[in-house]
Amino acid sequence: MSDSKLDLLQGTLDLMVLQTLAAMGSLHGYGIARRIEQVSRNEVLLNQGTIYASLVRLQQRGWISAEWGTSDNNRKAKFYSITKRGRKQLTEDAAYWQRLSLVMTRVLSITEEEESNP
Amino acid sequence: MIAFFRQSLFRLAAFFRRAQLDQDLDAEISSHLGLAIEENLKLGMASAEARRQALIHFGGTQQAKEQHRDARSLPWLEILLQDLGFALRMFRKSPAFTAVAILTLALGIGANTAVFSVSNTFLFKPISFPEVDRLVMVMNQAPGQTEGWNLVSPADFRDFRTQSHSFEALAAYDWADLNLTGVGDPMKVQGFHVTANFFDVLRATPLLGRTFAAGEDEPGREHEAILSAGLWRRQFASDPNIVGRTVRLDGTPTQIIGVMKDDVRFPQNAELWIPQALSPQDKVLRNAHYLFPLGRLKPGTTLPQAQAEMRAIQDRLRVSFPQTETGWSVLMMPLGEFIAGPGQGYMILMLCAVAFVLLIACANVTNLLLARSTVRQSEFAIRVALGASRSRLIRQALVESVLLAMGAMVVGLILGSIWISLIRANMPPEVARYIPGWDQVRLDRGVFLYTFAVAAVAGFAAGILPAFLGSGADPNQSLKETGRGPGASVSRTRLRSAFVVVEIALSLVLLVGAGLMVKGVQTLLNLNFKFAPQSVLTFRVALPASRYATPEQRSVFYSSLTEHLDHSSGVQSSSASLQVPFSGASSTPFSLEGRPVQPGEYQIADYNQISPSFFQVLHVPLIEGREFSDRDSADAPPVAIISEVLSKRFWPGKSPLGHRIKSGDENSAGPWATIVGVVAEVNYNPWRHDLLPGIYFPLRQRPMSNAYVAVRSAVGPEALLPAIRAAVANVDPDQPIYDVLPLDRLVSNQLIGLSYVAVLMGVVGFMALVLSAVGVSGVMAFSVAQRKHETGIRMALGARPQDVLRMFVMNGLKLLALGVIIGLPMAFAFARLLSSLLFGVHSNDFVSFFGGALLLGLVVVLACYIPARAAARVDPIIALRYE
Repeated sequence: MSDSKLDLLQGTLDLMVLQTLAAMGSLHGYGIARRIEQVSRNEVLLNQGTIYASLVRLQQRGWISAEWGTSDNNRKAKFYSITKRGRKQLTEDAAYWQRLSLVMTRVLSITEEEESNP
Repeated sequence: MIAFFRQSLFRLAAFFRRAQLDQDLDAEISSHLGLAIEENLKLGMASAEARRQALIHFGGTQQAKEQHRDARSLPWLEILLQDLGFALRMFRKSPAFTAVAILTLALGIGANTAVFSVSNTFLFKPISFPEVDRLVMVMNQAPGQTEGWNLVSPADFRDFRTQSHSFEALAAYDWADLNLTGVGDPMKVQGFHVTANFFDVLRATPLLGRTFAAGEDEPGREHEAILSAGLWRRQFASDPNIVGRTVRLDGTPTQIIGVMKDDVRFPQNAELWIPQALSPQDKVLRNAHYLFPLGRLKPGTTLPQAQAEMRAIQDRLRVSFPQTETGWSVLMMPLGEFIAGPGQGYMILMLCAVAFVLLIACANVTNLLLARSTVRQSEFAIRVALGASRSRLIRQALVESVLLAMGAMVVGLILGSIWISLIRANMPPEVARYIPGWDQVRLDRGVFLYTFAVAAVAGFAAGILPAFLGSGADPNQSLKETGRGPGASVSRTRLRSAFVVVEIALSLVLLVGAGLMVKGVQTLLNLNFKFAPQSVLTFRVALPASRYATPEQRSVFYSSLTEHLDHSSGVQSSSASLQVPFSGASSTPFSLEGRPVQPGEYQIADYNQISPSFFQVLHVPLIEGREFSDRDSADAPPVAIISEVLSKRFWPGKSPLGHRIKSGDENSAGPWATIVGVVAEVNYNPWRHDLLPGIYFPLRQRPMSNAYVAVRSAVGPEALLPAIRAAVANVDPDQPIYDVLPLDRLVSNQLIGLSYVAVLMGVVGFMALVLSAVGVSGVMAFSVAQRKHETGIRMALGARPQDVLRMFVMNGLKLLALGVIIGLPMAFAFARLLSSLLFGVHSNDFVSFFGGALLLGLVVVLACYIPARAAARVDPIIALRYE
């Protein structure tokens, strides 16, 4: 594990939030942020505060919904959950990312030899 | 896509629920931090450390809130509101700047509004019929004719109609001046003969009754008429049972079969339509061109396709009838273009002129803003230092200039409506009724939108450069400079000077244009002052066929009328004629005995039928031979008088007297008339670039039923009116007279379009002059203020006040010289455009060029001199202390 953390690419945070909510069900903002940190094994540079901009964006697009509730330890918090449309969007975006990452992997593994002897 | 709209909608909603959403977010963030602290405590941290770690991980609550706001709402709208508020505060702080900027722009915008409202009527909505773009005029061009169109002969029209396939239908019309009697006072109405399918082609439906049915345009069946809504209201008191009523038109009993709707004002100011019943002899005429054919293209047929078909038909006609058709061609144009006609050129010209004024106004405001942005440099620098982005500063500056322009739009709309009412008030009613759509010239929605667009563009145009320059300053540099040093502002001063040069160049163009126009109109008027029109009164008579059936009866009417008039007190002399100068021309082909017209030759002249005293009344000099006399009566040998141009063309260096001439072709029925005199040219039609030669016949040998009577008075022409009415009543108490106008009014009415353009150009030129004076003196005053320190040093080192004065004035003169050098070729190009549009305007009139440049130069020097003098009077001690 290196010292420098990964900067998040534009739009990737939205996708991570969607995926987290799809996997975990209803979660508050702090929970989503923690979950992403854990899953990424602290490799992404995430100011937890940035998650709220992403949440409001997803909400306005109708991909997640929000509701004030109470946490396990009796604290008031806003809980988010993914909508049906959000799931559909997630499938599309996930497929896109997988394709992209596959292509990137392939492109980055081109070696000099391959280039000279195709 | 749906997600995007949904999001936009939410964002807009969020904009209005800002406070509530902010509260919600605050609650959420504190809940977030609470959860994090709790977890940290569980991990065993001390409470202070737990809080610190939670905040570190959160990463700045303010940034999170801002990100949230940007994501949820419309940040640009919020910023826009902030900018607007700021701009308004700035304006309130500098009311003088605001007032000057708004007034300057408003002058330009108002002029654009007014001219657009007029041109809108002419260029864009001259007429409205269903699918009007499929309506086309099918005109001729005569051999050698390069500009304009010619009318079409009945036989050609009939061939066009039977042989073409491009049209759903082809109709035709021609003028019919009619006497309406049998209802109220006898009156003259503007009628048109139309083919039976005329209204079907237009797709115009009647308000009452019906339109003409097929076959009703045949001789013997034509005694029917359709009224315009205007005539129906005016003369028939909106009688709902009008259909079926009988009136007399030129004495012929005619049944009214319908009333047209209000919006049908075609052709021209039609008051009444009657069938065009051509006699069998007229139908086969090929050398008499008097029809206006009008067609509706089939759906899907384009104008070029139709034009190609018509040309092919014309080619066949040329082969079949070489004598009359050689050299003739077909010229088609959309109805809208036909109606807008020559007015179109004027309108484009006036639109150009006011656009120039707006450009000058914009340049002035740009300069004001540039000066201001120099002064406000430290304000911008502080904002940059505090973290404002460049785009934010540019936006702020643009909001200010567009807001100024919006203020100017309001003032401009007021100025524009004043212009419009002036324009309308100065149009004589006897002319206004001939201008299609004149009554629709007003501030309507289209004009309003145009004004809005113009103002918005002007605001951007004026503001964009100062915005970029003002925002680009290095905060370090400008904060150190404290607004004095010349450093960064040298290039800006140069830029402001460049704008002044452009202003001077544009003003020169407008001034020269104004000079040329005014001179052109004056030349045309001067042509006519030769016949002293101000002491001639004209009126028209139309003798009804019922009472004046024979030529003798008409002849007797005119001679006894002129005799009665001549004996009235105050009358010097009087004449009757078919036309008077500037009344419009009646043109005819003509033939000379022994010189047969070759196919492809088109000899055409303005002809006039006159009583013997015509030349005397209108001061037309006789060059050779004699005038007509009372002896040239119906049973005397036919005679004619020709104009000098005609004489010189066919008998160069020789006398035409004794040769014989006739109207129409050689074989036409008319008699050969012996030429007995030659007179100077008379201008009957001010719109032709090439004056036609004139031929005169004695009225007694050809007594027409429509005539102009011209009366030269020893007293003022208006004072003659009772005497004239008495004289007419003495000859025939039932005979109406109409269009009573002093001849100078008739002339100026003919030139009214030109006069309008001239006056507008004058006003526009004056505005340009004032605006550039303001611009120049503004720039000079600013540079004097900026160089106060430098001036002080110069004077301390021994420069005398006149040296300082010279330095500043020389600066101004350099700008002037550059402006004139750039402006002159532009002015010349503009002059070429003017002279191609307007008869009487010459592009090589050096007086206008020189005068324009001189006037502009004087004003610019004066505008420089005043601030320069202020600089020269400065006390060096004070100037040096000035920081």
